[in-house]
Amino acid sequence: MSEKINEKTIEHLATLARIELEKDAEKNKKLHTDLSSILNYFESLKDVDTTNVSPTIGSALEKNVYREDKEEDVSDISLLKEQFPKSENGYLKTPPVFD
Amino acid sequence: MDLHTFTIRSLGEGFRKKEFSVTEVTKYFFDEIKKKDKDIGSYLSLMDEQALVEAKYADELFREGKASSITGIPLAIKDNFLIEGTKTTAASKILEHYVASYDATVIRKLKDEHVVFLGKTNMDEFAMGSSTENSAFHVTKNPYDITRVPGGSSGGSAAAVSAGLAVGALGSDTAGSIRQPAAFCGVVGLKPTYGSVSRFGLIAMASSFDHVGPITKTVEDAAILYDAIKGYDRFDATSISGEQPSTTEMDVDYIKKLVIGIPKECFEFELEKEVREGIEMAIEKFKKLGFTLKEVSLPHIKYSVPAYYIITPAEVSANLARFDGIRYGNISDLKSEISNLRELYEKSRGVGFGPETKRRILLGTFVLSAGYYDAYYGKAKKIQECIVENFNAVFDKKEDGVDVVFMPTTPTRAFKIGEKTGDPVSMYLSDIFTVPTNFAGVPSLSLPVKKYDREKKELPIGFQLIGKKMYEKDILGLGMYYEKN
Repeated sequence: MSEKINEKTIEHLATLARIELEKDAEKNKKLHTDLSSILNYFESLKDVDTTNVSPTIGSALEKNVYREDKEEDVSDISLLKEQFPKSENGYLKTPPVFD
Repeated sequence: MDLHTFTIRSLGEGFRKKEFSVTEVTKYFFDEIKKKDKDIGSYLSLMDEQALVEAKYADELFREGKASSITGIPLAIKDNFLIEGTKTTAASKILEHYVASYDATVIRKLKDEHVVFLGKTNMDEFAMGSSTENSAFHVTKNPYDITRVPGGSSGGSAAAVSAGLAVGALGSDTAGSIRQPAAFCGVVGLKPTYGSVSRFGLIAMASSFDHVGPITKTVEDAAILYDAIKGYDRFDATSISGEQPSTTEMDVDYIKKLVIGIPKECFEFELEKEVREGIEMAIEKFKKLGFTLKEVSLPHIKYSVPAYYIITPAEVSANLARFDGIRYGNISDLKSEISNLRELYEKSRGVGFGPETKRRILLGTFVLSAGYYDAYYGKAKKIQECIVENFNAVFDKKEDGVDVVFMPTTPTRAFKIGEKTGDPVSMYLSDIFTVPTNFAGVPSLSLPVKKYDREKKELPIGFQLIGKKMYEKDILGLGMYYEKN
């Protein structure tokens, strides 16, 4: 499995995860080595026969949790809005989606 | 006033008997923090102003006879719990400027009892790590030996309690992040049953394994704090409803009947010599106290760490997608000009996340990608089920099962700062004895084998008592009995 990850794969994953990788080649090499060694470490799981095992779903509750789909008053959201880096006339502002 | 040795219990008694006021005690702790925390680095931020206001109010409650068992108790809070109006960073640069807009449910519960929050404690970024070295801000040191790590990820909370810079603390535990630092710092840590304590307002890392719990000096204190924070919460969909009995009263007759199981697999792992000796000492003590001990088997626990490092990154990659450099404040050192939204995401996350966080997000993205899902995530979830079954079998009364499982907390004592940072897999292996209970959702208490002497530079060793789901009273009771004898 360790061959399944190379620097190109890592670049692709970083694009999917919206993370800009460092420009430093050394650091990226280290990232590649680390990820490869972690993936190698997973190999031991192949030793376990799980043919008749179903995957765990949930850890405590065997039933689903529902609530009424209705509007509720939430607390003051001004603090939440203050976190936004930019706003204008009460609107929250971000850079454009397209250039 | 030497408050160093005080516990939640004894401090509360002192308040009631008017031996000292909450305000005096609060000021004492801030003085201590100012004197000692530059060497330890347990706190990320202090809440002195609010704390003194709260202390005054608590003193009023004592005068009026309206105080509870935890009113006025000075606590430290891990920096991944939201406290309204307070900076909450999860020790990440991406949250450097984030101010929480609401209270976590556990914070709300503690505020209702008028405890005093001293400040927010250091941790591994987003609770990912076992040494607190992954904090974006500073390294926390072990109060027993400042060249060593306090453990992690709740390293700041454990170090603060251990160094006498708080009487108790809140931590979170996804793979051992409460118990491992508690063991390294010679204090007590409880990871309760999954669903017994609300996670609403805890910054999520891996939701199916995240737990909230106390770090304290004694088992009795852990029980007091656990009783204060537990209970159903409609804002956490995994919350268990129904009455939960008090755990602070120890019923000796009941405790003495508990059968303790020791998994034979524990001794198949490489244990540091001193840890092995410490563990044997604890087992001997249980024998001397007249407990029935028997060998049990948890055959799959050795696979828990690799399985954990598949499932957790998968959840991390989803949970941390919300950090976009917009909604939770921006990154101050984003130097270049941003021309579109996507660039803002990529640059904010590139600069804002540390190396371990990035590793896990990328790994999570990888194991969930088409073609690899079954080989990694699917397989790991099946291994998790094997471990759940292991615990079910061990606790099955029909099959002559035990009441409590005894395990070491960690394979080694606190390691040196920098010793494992270069090799993620060796760092992950420090979780080998703590991960299995996060898989099974069963409660686990870590407590020190004995009292450790700081002057002699002894390094603490902890062991775990693991109970059946919602049987916190078993492990806390047994722990109190061990501690008092």
